[in-house]
Amino acid sequence: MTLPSKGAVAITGVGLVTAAGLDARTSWERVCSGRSTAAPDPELAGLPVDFSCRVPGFDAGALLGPGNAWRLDRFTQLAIVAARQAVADAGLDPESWDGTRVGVIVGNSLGGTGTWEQQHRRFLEDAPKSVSPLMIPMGMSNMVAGHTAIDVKAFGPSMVTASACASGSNAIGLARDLLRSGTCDVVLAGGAEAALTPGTITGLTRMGGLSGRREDPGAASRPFDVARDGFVAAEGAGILVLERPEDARARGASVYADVIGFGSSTDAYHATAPDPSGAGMERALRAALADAGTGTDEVDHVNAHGTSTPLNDVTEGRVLRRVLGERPLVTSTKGVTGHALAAAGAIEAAFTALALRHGVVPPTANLTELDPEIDLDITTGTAAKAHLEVAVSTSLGFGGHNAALVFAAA
Amino acid sequence: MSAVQEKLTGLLVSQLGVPAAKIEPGITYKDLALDSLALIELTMLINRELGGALDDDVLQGETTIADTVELIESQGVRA
Repeated sequence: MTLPSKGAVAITGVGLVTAAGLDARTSWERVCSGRSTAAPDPELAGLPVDFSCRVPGFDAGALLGPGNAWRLDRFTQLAIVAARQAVADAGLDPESWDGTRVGVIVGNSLGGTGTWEQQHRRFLEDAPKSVSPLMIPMGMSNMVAGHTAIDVKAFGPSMVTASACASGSNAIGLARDLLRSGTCDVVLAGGAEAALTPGTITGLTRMGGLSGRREDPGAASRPFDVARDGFVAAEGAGILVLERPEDARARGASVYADVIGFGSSTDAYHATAPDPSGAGMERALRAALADAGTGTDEVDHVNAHGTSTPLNDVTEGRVLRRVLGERPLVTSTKGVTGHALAAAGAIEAAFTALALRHGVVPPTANLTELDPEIDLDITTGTAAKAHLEVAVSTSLGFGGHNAALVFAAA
Repeated sequence: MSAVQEKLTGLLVSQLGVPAAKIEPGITYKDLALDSLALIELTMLINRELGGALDDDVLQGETTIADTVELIESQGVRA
């Protein structure tokens, strides 16, 4: 049993809008089913990679009001909906809380790519006067934090963390520090990304990051599998409500899990390739465990970054084995959800908290033959029931950003 | 309702999410809760979709739907 350190923060609300579902419960159930969400994407028709993990049936007008929705890029829309879910789930009411004590930290990487691409087309094809005056406020990445703050009346610090695919995890780490320092009493922390646009997908394709399995998209995201050939781009948002555990328990809130440790590091090695030694990731993981006061032999479960790219999975697999041994049940939920870039760390933090709450490890979709270079106990096929007390979520991003979070069952 | 007013109403409803029931000739953009950025967006839509040639600063918070229709029609647009 690992006791939460005095710096722990409690997760009291979870909001998810993912390719696996429009809320946390639906997303969790789909992830536990192990059925991939990757599918042909009509908006990418004609491109070399024409499939993705898109959030299905997201009606921003119905959810946010038609007069509001058109002014927001999709990544902001997804975040606001997830934030509202998380706040309601936590049993908090923005109408009555002291908003000056509430912060909003949201990871985002690419901003409003849909807006930029559409408006740039208008600029080139028509005239400067055809460019929307909303282009800048819709496209700026920080607007996801600004608009979420407006929506929930949060007057404390708000900002975006931009560390590529580690953004969501870093947002949670920063949020924890805002609570720990007494700057805030409540922080909405997470990540959002909606970059399934022709230009962005083309860029990711050109750099060789994406799976090219067009003939069978449902089998394309296959973390740790020997036949993996790249990630499947996804969109989504995950927002957690974080509070100091004593505050949460004093108001009788239900706690999913506690965030008990956070570690962050940088490879400083290459723009996009992970340091093959895994030294940077190892530093982040060991820092998070030390921060939590958790032994390397106490981790029961890892929600791995596991992108399904050849380089990431083998490097990450080696580090997890080296640091944590063979004990933890490892999964990559990206087999189901795809890779939601800056939102991934937040979405996976939510899944890790849900795994601790339910004592269930979701399976890694499409993992049929483990890469012989990887020596881990990876859950496959069906979800595994297990007694889980301590879990880790890892996130690694272009730029060499590494982040690890340690969670403890409430 | 003139053809121009019908098209203007269509733009307000479909593009800017204004409730159709609120739109009547005497109502101002301020009353429709459209801010300055939304009014530049509307100007752009009128010029693009209806063939108007309004300057960006013509529509103001106090401008009414009827004023706008008159402005557009004064440019020879009959929709």
